[in-house]
Amino acid sequence: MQTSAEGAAVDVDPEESICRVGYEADVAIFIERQFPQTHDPVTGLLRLEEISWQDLKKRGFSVQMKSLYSRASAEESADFKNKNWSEKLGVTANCRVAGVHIAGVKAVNDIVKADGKSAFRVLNTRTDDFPSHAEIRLVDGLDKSYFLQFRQELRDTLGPLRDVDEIDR
Amino acid sequence: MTYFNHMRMESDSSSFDERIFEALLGHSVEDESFLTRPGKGYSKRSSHIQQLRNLCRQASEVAFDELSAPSRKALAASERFLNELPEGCLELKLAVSHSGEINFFFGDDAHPFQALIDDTGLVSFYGEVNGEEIRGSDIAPADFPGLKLLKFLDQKK
Repeated sequence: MQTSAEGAAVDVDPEESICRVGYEADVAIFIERQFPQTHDPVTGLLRLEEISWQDLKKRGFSVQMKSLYSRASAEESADFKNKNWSEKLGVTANCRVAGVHIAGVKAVNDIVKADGKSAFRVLNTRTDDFPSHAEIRLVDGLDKSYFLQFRQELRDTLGPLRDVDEIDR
Repeated sequence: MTYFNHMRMESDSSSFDERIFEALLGHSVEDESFLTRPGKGYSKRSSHIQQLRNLCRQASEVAFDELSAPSRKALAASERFLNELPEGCLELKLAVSHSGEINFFFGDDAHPFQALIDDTGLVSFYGEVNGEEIRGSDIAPADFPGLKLLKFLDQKK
């Protein structure tokens, strides 16, 4: 592992896989109440607008290291969302896990710029509370037009939703 | 001499792309009846602006934790962007990101032309068709190259 420019964070091992949980609900609640699911219902791909500039440049686009994550944890996260929305918005959404987008870290690293270097870094940002947490970040020096180009490639690399049991395999 | 014939004479006729011009107008260049009726794109444009305002209002109602609503500057710039789009570019999808960025998608879902307006109120865009890339970052909505988008959509057909 290499020491990252992002404080104490380090790059995730390229042999690791990362996953991003897809959710669905009974009402339009995702991305600020626009959709009842986090993915495109036709293609099964993550919605492009789920991947924001702020996430990739500042906050980090949240994913989980697959070997440290589990289906049970994914389902707990859906329960947490239900509780949060119920308390803060008074909405009963019945959010549940719809599936999972999975990619190898190496495949993400293989999304490259014109100079052949990776457009993204996958950083290990695990904590005691979130032991599988990782973040994807766009490397420095790329403007927003490149962000738009590469988020599309990242979406395609994460691929369509798969069965949630894939997390535990 | 009609208005458009006059324009064609004034322009470089060898490079004049009538299809682009018609797409800009939203009707045939031979059809001048538009001069006495509202443009076809009017209702689409106003419908998009209405949708945009609704999305921003919804976003502001649920802005908590890591969610942010679009800024006033982003909303104003997005309205201007929509108002300046050529009529042939009004088939689009609008979406707000949880960090308040306003997304515009044109063309097919697999490889759309994307435009983004964030809290700076500036437009960034990217599209690729037939190996040709169209890109720009942080430009004023008035400077968005609508003709290039029109050409992109035309080539995607």
